[in-house]
Amino acid sequence: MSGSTPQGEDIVGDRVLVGLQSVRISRLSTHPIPVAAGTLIAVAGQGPKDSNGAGKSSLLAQISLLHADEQWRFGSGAPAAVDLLFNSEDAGGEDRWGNADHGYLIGVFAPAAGTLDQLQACALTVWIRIDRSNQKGPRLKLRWRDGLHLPVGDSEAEREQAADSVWQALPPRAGRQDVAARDLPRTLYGEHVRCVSFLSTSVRASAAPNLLAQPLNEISERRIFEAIAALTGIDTELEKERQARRHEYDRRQEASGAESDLATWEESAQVIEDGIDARDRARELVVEAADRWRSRTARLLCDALQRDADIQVEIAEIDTVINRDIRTAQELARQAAELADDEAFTRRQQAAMSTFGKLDSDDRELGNQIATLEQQIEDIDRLLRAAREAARDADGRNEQAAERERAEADAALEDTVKAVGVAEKALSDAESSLRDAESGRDLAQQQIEILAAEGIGAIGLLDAVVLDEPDRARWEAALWPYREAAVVDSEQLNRASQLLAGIPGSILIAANRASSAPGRLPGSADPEYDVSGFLAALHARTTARSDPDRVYDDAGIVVVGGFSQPATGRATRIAAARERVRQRSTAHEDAVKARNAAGQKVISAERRQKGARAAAEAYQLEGQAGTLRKKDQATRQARGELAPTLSAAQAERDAVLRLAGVRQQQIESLQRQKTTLDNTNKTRREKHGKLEEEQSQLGLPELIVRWDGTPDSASEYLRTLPDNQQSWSADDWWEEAKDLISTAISECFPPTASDTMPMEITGLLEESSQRGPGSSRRAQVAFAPLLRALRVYLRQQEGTDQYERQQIAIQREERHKSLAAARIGHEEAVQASRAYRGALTSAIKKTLADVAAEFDRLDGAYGGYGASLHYEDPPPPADPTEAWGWKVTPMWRRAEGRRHIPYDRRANTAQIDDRAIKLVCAAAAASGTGRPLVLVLDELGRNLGKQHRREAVALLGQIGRDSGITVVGALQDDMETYAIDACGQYVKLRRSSDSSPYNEQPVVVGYDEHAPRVELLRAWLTGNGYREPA
Amino acid sequence: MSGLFDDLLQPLGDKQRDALVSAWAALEYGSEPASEAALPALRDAALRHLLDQMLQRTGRTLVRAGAYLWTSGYRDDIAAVLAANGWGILPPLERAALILVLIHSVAIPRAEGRLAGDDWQSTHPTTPTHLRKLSQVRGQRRLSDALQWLRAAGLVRLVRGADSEMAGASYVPGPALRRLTPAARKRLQENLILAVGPDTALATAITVRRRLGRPEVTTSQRSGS
Amino acid sequence: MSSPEAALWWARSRAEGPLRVPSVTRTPAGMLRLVERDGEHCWLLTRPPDDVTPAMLRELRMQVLPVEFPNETRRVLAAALRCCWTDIQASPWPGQPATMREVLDVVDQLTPGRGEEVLHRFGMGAFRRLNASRWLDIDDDVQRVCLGPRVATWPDQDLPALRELCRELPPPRPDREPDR
Repeated sequence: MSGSTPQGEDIVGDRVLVGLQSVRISRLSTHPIPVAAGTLIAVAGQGPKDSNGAGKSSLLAQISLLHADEQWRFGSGAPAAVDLLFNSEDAGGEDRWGNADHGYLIGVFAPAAGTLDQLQACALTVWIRIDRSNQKGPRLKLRWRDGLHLPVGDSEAEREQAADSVWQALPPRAGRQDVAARDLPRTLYGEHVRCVSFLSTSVRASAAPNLLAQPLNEISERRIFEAIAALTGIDTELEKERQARRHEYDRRQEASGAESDLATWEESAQVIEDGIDARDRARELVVEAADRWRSRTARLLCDALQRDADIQVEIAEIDTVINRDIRTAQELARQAAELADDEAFTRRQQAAMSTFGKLDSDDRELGNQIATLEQQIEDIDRLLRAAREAARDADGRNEQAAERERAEADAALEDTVKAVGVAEKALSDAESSLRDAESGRDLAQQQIEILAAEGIGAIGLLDAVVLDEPDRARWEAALWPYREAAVVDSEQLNRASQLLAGIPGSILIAANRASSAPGRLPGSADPEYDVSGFLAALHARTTARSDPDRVYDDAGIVVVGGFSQPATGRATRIAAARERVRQRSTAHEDAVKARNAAGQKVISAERRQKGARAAAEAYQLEGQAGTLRKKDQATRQARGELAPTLSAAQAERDAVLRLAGVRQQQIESLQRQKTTLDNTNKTRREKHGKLEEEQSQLGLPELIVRWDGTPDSASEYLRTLPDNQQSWSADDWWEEAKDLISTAISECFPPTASDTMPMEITGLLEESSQRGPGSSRRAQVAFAPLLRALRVYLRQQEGTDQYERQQIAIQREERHKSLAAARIGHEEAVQASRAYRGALTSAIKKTLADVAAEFDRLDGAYGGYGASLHYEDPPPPADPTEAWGWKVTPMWRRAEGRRHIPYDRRANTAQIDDRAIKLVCAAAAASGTGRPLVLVLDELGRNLGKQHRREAVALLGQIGRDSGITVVGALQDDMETYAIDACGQYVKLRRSSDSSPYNEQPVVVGYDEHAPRVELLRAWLTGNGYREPA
Repeated sequence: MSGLFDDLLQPLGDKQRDALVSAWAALEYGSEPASEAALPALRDAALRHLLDQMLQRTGRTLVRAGAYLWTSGYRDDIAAVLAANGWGILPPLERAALILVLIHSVAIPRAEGRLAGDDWQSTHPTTPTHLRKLSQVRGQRRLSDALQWLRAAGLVRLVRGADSEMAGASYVPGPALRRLTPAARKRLQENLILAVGPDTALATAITVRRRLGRPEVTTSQRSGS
Repeated sequence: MSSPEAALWWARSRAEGPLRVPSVTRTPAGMLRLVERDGEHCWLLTRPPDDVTPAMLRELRMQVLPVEFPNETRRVLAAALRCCWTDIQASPWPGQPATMREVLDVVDQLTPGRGEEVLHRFGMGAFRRLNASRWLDIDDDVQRVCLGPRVATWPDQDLPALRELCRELPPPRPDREPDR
């Protein structure tokens, strides 16, 4: 059966599912569920409230997954399968139970018919394990084993445990790993479609349409074809077409790849070739430039030779002229010398000159003497006049008398001056006494000032006492010894005497002392200073006598009185002082008068003395003047005698000088002529020199070296040049060479790649392209090295260039060849896929015709009026990336005898769903694969009206028997009555409350006419809680 | 659903849609190129074309990474815009480290004829000795961070025991470089030539062609993941 | 449906990860827009065909780019989810902010006995990786952890399992410094 398929592919083959068991899948219990294949299996539910919540959809989803329905998207790992695992939130008990982290779907497959032994031998158990996490690999894992390998247990927990251990015991099938989701359809069914399902969206939200999952009229014609192709197995044929197209595409890519490769390659090769071409051109240019350079050298050499010869001739000519002029000049010089060399004339000239010179100087000397004498005479006359004037003051006295009178007057004056001095002194002493008396400080002045500064009042004693006229004789004498004493208040006596410690000899007299009045005493002048105490004491000590008035002191002292002026009392003492001043002043005036008179006498005597002296001097001067006048006379005479000789000498001198001037002119004329000749020759010599220099600068030897041949060969070379170049100058050749080399450089190094230029060339190029003075010379100097460097560079590149050219040629040929080959390959592939499509078209059409016929038959048999399929040859794809677009349009009659109407016209949904099922069944029936099909229909009676439900259920019940299709349908509550009649098996899933995570054991009622299949499962069912029917 | 791909995917059946989406994920998420054998959408020319259209819409393109191997990379025009805007550009140190790895592991062996192909994969490790200069300049710690970053981005791959002399890991170019489009590979190759030997005849030819032809983007952009 | 701008947005998102843009930005075709809590910015995430995720590659037995320290990183993400997804009946994004301390405390309870220094070092590495890949949105300055925009790409199908995970994980211990 499955022996013919390759290992690990299509392992189920044409076996059918006969039983299934789920572990930790949704809320389904782990009880096995037998499947009566080829019948309608109705799945009903009994939940806590209604039929929902018992897990019908999960059961159907499980069957769909087991049959590898493509809706599960195995290519992406069937991610939605995880939703089948028990989920505590969905079960309403996340606080009581945890989510299942893995679960199992277990399917038992067996041949559709056969004896028990055969069935047992060929049974296959398929395990799909679902893991919630894919941390450790794919979520879906597939294991299988021939025979029955199923968990058995008395309770859910036991069966769960058993499931885990059976799984562990099954071997992984992909080496050490398990077969994963993406290989599941191929492994189990070899990509054959085994299931078409409509699954409730609560389980599986399909993004893509399929015939049952979507209202048929919303599905494209193209999708309908694809679905039919999958069901009938044409898709495997189509797969080959796709491969051919793929091949075609690959070849086309190859061809276009080769083409674009070639284009890119050509592009870069072009750049390289352009570079090589440019360098080749540069090579030619360099050769040409070298030629031009050589022509220039030849031209330079020939030009230089020509010039050299010209210079030679010119020099010879100049030499001749110079020699001639030298001779002329010599003759002129000789003539000039002759003229200058006349000895007789020279002597005459010298004599005349010296004679004249001597006489002239004598004359001048005499003139000077006369002038001097005249000056002297004039001076003496002036002195004489002054002396005579002064002599008039002598008043008739001679010199001796005048001098004696003068001496007498001087002595008289001296005496009067002394008298004035004495009088002045007396006057000033008197004035000073007066000032002292007036200020009261004439007596004890120093002491009174010191005490006053310390705030102690004091006055002189004589100021403190007032004497009446009668008392004067007695008291003035008694008080006189104490005239220098100061009167101080007796209280202050001690302090005052301390203050006066610095003035020894100070006398202090106490005032305001109590007195025992002895009789009449003189009064005190100032009441603050009462000196009566002192006076009383003094009175007692002294005794007055008269003639002369005097006083005897008890100590034996006698003081003589008789003062003309009162000695005491301030006013009297001032008056006395004034009188003295007046007397002295009078004396002084008299002395001054006497001195003035003496002064006058001295002046007169002096004037007379001077007059007498002047008279003597005048006499002496008169004598001197006479002598000088005589001397002047004599000198004037001598000069007059010299005059005739002098004028003769002058005439001789003038004659000689004129003759000498004529001679000098002649000589100068000759000399000028000679100088002109000399100058001309000098210019000629300069030119000579320049020519010689030019000759040497022609650089003939160097040019010859550069030419590297004989001078003749150079001119020969030039002669062989084309006519139009014969006349080219060296500069013309240079310009040419320069242009060529710069073109060569820009060929080698285009501006886009100028940075690849070798350093040497860059440097030289820079040098030769510099502007400024001498630029052309520098350029020419740099030319030869530049040429050489460029040649070297080009020679270095030559080998590479040749090699690259070869390589490019070889590669170009190869690439063109491979492009041609790729194009041929592409063309062949196009042909092949076209041929393949041609062959396939008829096969497809035949299959479609079969399906159409079956569709028509089924429609007719189950409540319709006949149906058909419309399809056409699709045009071949314009591009291999386009699919070969077959389209199928299902059509059916809407009423008896009417024409076929396309499926997508407006119709009631029940009709459409009905046709969809019929179409699926027709395709399955017309299938050439021989593989049984399962239809999974959640909501069996979806959209069906009552009439249609009955027919639909009848169709589904019948179709299994006709074509071996198993239909699994979930029943809505109101469908049970229709279904139970038609179905071959009835499954009721039961769940009485949400308090337990899993369902209760389901109720399964069914009849399988293939008894061995029932027998096969017996042990499994009875081992898991089912009872044998009574 | 307002996806970017709806109009492309809508007409397809489950199987083809599944094939396309899984191939898309394999190309875009995989660290290594995906094999045709595992992914039907890469085998079929029509689906592969659709896949490329999907990639194009996201600024990506299908890149052939060898016989029956495919991956995805940035569209050349998009890469140019990204680079011009500085989006997803490698930081300087990371770039320097990557360039060193490319030079030592690919450019030099390729120039010596030890390495064929232009896919920037290599078995010649870049040793710590090669990277030493960089670590001396920027510090070992910064360099390690940079290399770790490059490793995480798949731009370099660690190989152990390549250099017994020096401590530290050796590296070869990472799988992300296989995502380079042919144009990007060429650009990288040329940029390396320009960087390593600017005065060679090859560099001249590149410069001339670039100046003649359309201006190409010369910034090396992060071409990986 | 498709446009050059969309292509560029997608490519940019591929190069830089989820894009944070001002809210005024028009949502490019095929992209998911997640407005942030403050309403001023939103995240743009690409919506792959049929919302296929990299997890699918495990089904194909293909490799995705490996994550460094995958276990630690996953553990920290789970802990962050535990702390931030406070209303597990609602969608995880944007969730509520949590502190790094809280998240690390949950990690600490998952892997008890590790020293505080080790916990912190591994934790910070994981935070950095998760922040870079936008699974988390971390503000280092205030030690704040939020769920990143990528969590919004979790398919509804996975949410029951994630909720169960959250129920099983311990909550952060209040007022307790992790193992100090």
